[in-house]
Amino acid sequence: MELPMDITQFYDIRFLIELGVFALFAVIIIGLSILTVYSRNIVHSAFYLLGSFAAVAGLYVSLNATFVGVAQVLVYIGAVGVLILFAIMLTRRTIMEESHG
Amino acid sequence: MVLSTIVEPITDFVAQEPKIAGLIIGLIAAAIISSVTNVGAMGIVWLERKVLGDMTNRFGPSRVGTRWGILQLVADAIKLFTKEDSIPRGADKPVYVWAPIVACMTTMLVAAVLPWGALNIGGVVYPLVAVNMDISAFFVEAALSLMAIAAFMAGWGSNNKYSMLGAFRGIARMISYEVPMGICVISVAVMAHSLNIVEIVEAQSIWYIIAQPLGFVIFMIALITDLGRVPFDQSEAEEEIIAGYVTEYGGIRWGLLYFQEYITMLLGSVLLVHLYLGGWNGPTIPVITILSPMIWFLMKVILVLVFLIWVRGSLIRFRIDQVTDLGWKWLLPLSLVNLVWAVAIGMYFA
Repeated sequence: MELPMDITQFYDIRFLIELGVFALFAVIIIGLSILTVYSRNIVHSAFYLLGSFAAVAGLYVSLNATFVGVAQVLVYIGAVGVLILFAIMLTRRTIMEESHG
Repeated sequence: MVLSTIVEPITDFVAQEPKIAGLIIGLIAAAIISSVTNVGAMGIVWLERKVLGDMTNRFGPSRVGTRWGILQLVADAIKLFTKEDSIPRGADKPVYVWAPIVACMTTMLVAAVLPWGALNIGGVVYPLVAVNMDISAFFVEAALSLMAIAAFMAGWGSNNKYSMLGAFRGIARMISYEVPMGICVISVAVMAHSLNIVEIVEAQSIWYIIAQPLGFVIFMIALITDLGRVPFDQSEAEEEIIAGYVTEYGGIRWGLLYFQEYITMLLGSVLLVHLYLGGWNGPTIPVITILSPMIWFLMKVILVLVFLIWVRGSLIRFRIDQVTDLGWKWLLPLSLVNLVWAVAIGMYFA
């Protein structure tokens, strides 16, 4: 099958940029979610989860929903994420190896 | 004549290619903001050493540079840059390395939406702001809440129990004071009918320190706590936990974390001035009309900075349980009272 030489004659260039940005965020979200589940270190899992939250916020902003994006950062990264990290911090002794200091 | 030959091609280009021009202007604004915040933080470090020295009957820096030790900061920066960059054995390497970067990213996010003064050109006041968002006050709150994550990353990545305790205290302090701080911002937004900081400043025909004195006090206390300065610096209490979450850092990584604290101090003062002290509002100064809003803005910011240093020089450190008690049992209810007050006053005068 032969690809069309100039793809912009079928699609608007702005549509392609939007599609590219969406695909970028989607790949980041899916990749970080998989890492969250499969990571052996629970703290790294939490950071991957925070990264995927941030990518979701980016997705909202790219959809022209700035307020929802900023609310996502405030609620999910600033509050839920910190809560998760706080809970992990209270369970430190069982998961941290050979602390020096 | 010379000016028009420079200006005309630029205006033509902006008219022809608005998006590329916007991108270029954004990049220039980013460069300007990062230099303004860093130079400002250097100035604050010098000011703090000098004022604290005066308060404790010392001279402060007095030798390096021509006078008053002005080049002391440059000497310190060269020392930090040339120090060995060591990562402790047993540290969680990626987390340890990323912590100062995340800390600097949060400060730059805040700096992008804050107005950095204004210019009065022909009777119209133009605010100097890189990104004029509709919800900039809300955005600032969201970005400030990310600071706790940088503190956690530094404390965890170091793999040291003192760092961990410092991060623990730091996060407990930050989350208990972000709630009253956010409610204070909401009160200001209710009174100004806007979440845009530029519009909040323009709405302050009466400064909000007069309209909401309680909110000002709460915001000031919450700000000092968020900055982690005396009397709320439990996260780096040197007698108990060495230096908190910066214990294991050295060289330029420590320098970044240290500088980020001072940049946050500058940003917090600017935010306080915009929300409660009327930003760049003030009577026009006759001869230098263009710079008059800028001068008012800088005078207020320096006043707030000197006040913060004064507080540091006068008070002693609280215990961490006293700090969280104050946050949840006093400031949170009082900030709700202030919100009710703001709504009532806003309804009455609207």
